[in-house]
Amino acid sequence: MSAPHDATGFADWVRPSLLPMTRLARRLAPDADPDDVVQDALVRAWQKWHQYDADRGTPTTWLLAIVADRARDARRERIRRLRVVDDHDAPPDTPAPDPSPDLAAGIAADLDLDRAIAALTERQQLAVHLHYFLGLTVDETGAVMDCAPGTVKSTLHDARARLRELLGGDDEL
Amino acid sequence: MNSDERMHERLTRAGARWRDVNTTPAHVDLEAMSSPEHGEYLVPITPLGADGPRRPRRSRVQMWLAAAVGVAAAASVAIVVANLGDGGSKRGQPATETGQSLTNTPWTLTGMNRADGTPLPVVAPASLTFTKDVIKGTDACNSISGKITIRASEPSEVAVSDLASTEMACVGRPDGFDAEVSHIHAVLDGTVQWSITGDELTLTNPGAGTLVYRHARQTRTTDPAALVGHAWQLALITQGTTSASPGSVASATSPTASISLIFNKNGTLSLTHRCYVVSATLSAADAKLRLTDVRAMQHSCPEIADPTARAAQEREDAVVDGVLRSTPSWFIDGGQLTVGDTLVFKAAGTLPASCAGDGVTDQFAIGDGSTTVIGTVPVGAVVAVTAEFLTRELTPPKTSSTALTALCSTTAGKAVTTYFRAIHAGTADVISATAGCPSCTQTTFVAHLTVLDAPDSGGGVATASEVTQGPGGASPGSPGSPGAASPSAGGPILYK
Repeated sequence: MSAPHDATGFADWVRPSLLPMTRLARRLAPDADPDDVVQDALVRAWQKWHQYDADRGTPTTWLLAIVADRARDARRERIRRLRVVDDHDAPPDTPAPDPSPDLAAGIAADLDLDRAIAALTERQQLAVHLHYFLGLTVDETGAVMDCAPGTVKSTLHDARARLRELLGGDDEL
Repeated sequence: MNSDERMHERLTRAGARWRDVNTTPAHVDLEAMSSPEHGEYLVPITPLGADGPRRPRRSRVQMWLAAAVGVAAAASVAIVVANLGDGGSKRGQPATETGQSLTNTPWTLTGMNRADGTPLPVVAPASLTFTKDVIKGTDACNSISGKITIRASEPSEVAVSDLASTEMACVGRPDGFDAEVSHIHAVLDGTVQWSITGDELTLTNPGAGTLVYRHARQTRTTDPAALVGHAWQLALITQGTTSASPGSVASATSPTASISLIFNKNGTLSLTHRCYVVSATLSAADAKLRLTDVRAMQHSCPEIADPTARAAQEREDAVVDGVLRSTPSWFIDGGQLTVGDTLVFKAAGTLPASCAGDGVTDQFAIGDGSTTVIGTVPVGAVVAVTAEFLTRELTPPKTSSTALTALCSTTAGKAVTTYFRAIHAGTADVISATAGCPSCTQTTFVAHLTVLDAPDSGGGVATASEVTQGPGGASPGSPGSPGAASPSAGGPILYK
């Protein structure tokens, strides 16, 4: 389907992608309101719809890439809020922790799978969420991440290895 | 199957299960995009609400942080609890020669009789309050409410209609419980004759029998000092003519809603919620709660898979937010704090006076150098984790588990205690309480974990876990890395 040229066409164009967009928002920014993230993404898509290139992916993968971008902003905004509250509690001689996803998720060594995923790098998290939790193929995941399928496979491999480390021997379910 | 393949399989299964319960797309109004008046502007994309498209939603934290303190949300909550201190006669409501008034008086059930006069035992507390138009109370377990009408031509009769009840699961029901509940509902069905003798109210429904209530003497206060020193646990939300408990709004399979208020001596308020922590500067003068300098911090929020339960939870959250932001009235009576005539909190955990001024200390623990205390703690309980440092500086214990939210800390000598509340149903049974600062890997301390007050314990202090390990021992994990220890009998556990 080609990119829409009017508002009616835009609504029809994005509607099939709303569920995967929502799912990705929930995975990437679990503490943000998915309605807000998706809405922000739709506004951005509306602004950029003329940039959509069907040769580089489906409408869904294009929209998911925008959601990933908006979710990252939402998560960083939340981290900023956390640091404002946490600052008073930091030990005097201890530098403030980096604003990593670990901080937002409250990572500890005995975390369950979701918490362990939150400890991955942003790229690894995105690959895991797209491939495993949204059920995208490797090719589709690559389209969202704007990289080759081989890169997706290696990213997923690294992510699984890191998850095994984080979960210790608890990788049997 | 090698370890990578096992992880692949685990992720695949986890993803499939997650997709199965996440089937609802975001609420956005795509149709509005094509409306002629909007043309190609961006504003048409708005979430759908009950009243149609509205402005873009803000997250709950954003709402808390909004400078404008609106009262719209609170205004949507119909106030049904009248001022219990006002005599009904002042409002022209029925009163007796003895001065007792049917309305605006809290009544406690003391006796029941069937229609034939046979007495029925009162085996569980029940209460009633009449206002001008509404009856509300409890039926020994659930909250009840309904409309009432007292006609001038028949002042000794009160017509009860639309009696509604919550649907809480009533556990631990004594013998006679069901009969009591049924009898209360039977008598309060239709037109009821009432009379007051002394402190006693008798309600008679000729077809069902009688209910005898006694005036529940009040200990009501609006002294701000009475707010301090407790962890006030939300127990009831009253909306319109229907009362609902938080636990019954979210289904039994969902995380139990746990909202508590801590009023600190330094004039701040800490609100702990299932999904966020709010701190604010507070004024409780003039029987009003005024919140300023509100700061909110979200934490990992347990997902409620069931859409109905999730929607109910969100409605409940909205009511709490709206009431607390609306400069609500408040009073304490009978160990209960009522806010905005809508939110009823019970004094759950009594914090030591030395602790009450510290406010929220921390929500997340970051870094290494931690050690772990494990205990089984019911949701809603106040947990004290004490670390007595033997070799290094004092640092309040923190928690790396989102099952706990910190309430406050207190210091006594070399011992530092942080008080937490268990907030998550799914993970509160195992607590990873981290003591010490990230650089204190060699710090030796003695840790105690104590349940101060659990919701179902009826108060009091009970030691949940005191375990011992000698210096240099291995459990609950090597120094510098979190681990787990099983609670056992004995003295405190010594960590290095």
